[in-house]
Amino acid sequence: MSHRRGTDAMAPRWRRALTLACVLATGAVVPRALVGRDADALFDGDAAAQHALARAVADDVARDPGAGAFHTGSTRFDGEWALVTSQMAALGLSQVIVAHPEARARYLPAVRAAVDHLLRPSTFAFGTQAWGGAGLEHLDGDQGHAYLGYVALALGALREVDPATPHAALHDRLVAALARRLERAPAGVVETYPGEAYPCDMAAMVGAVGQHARLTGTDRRALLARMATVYRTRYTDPASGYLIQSVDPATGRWLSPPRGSGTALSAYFLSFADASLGRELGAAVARHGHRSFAGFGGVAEYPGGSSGAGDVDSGPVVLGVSVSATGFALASARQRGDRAFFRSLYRTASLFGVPVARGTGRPFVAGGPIGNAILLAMLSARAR
Amino acid sequence: MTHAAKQAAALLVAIAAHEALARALAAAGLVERLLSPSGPGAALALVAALALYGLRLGLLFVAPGLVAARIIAALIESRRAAALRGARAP
Repeated sequence: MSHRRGTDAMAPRWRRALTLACVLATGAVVPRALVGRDADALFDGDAAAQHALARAVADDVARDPGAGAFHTGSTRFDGEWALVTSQMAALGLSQVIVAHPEARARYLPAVRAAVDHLLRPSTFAFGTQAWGGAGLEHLDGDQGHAYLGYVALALGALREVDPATPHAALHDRLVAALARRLERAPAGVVETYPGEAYPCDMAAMVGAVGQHARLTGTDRRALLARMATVYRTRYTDPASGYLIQSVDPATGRWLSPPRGSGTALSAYFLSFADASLGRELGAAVARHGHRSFAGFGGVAEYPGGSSGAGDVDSGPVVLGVSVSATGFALASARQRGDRAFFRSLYRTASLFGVPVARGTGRPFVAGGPIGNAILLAMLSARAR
Repeated sequence: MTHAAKQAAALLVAIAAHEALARALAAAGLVERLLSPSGPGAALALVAALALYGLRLGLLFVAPGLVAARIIAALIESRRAAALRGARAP
């Protein structure tokens, strides 16, 4: 009897220790094995894995989430989100078509629709309001409207899979205007809004110029080489390799710390113009920004030594890790062939994005139209 | 119903609730509702999203450990009981 009493008295403490040890041990192993199991399929460009998200994005395009679908509290941000949603849908779906040409008939209507949504004057209301004039109607002018780089990239994505698109002439005129503005900018700075300049938005311009040159054979090598130098020498933080988020339009002076979200997105945009520059930025994000826990990776919004809060660019910043930077970095991880980094980021995207079957697609519950469009573009980004 | 059976049933209910919440939020458009200007819709979506994440993190990071601990404890106790029976045998 005394032996049994002694065993029972020990049991609760023993059980608690055993439970804690098991929770810690399985917590380090089981979630990483269960979450994001399609990471390798996406990394390898598997058709079924890409179609699962592409179908959901095409459905979202058909539902047409315009600026009225967003309520951030700022008409400018609502408009920017609508623009990015359509741009990323066009980029992502066209990348899927290029990777799997047999899917062209399925997704081309959605790419066309996304570009049509993008070109509606209401999409640019935020820019028109800021500049006092519509950017697309004054392409001969010298006002910055750097956000038009996003539009040009989407037009190029459409043109790549639909060379006969009626928007080809607009694509030519728009890229010519963007190239001229970049050439005339002494410090390589083109404003997004009056008094505001962002290297990430200019990266979209540069990427669009490079993409157009590749599609049409236009020789822009001198401009692209000059802009690559500008990015390497003026906008890159030498310590971390991250890009500065905003600069003074007049002088090019840095106005913000280097940021992971802008760097990771710029790496993707610039890959359309200069693959090596895109890879350099992507490698900097992986080297200085990668944080991981139990196999789940994220990207620090601010490299070591600097700190700051989250905003509309970064999304929530939790323990220094930015939602946007983590999502955007998937593109450069795939483009650079960094499977381990891709896996760890994708696990996190799956953990918090919560992929679930909806109709014939498999969107991320927490993504919404903008998040799913961005993730499709990043997950299907091609090495160049 | 034994304690182990109750725990197994709770685990199954949690898995089912996670799936149901995820599908419901996907169908309802979680992000659109969170960004919705109408207060009740956004508040309901926020509560549902927090419940979904609570279940998801618990099921992935805690539940496997609880199950493993339960199985290991049962194995140890059955061996101990067998040893006691052996010691009492003439």
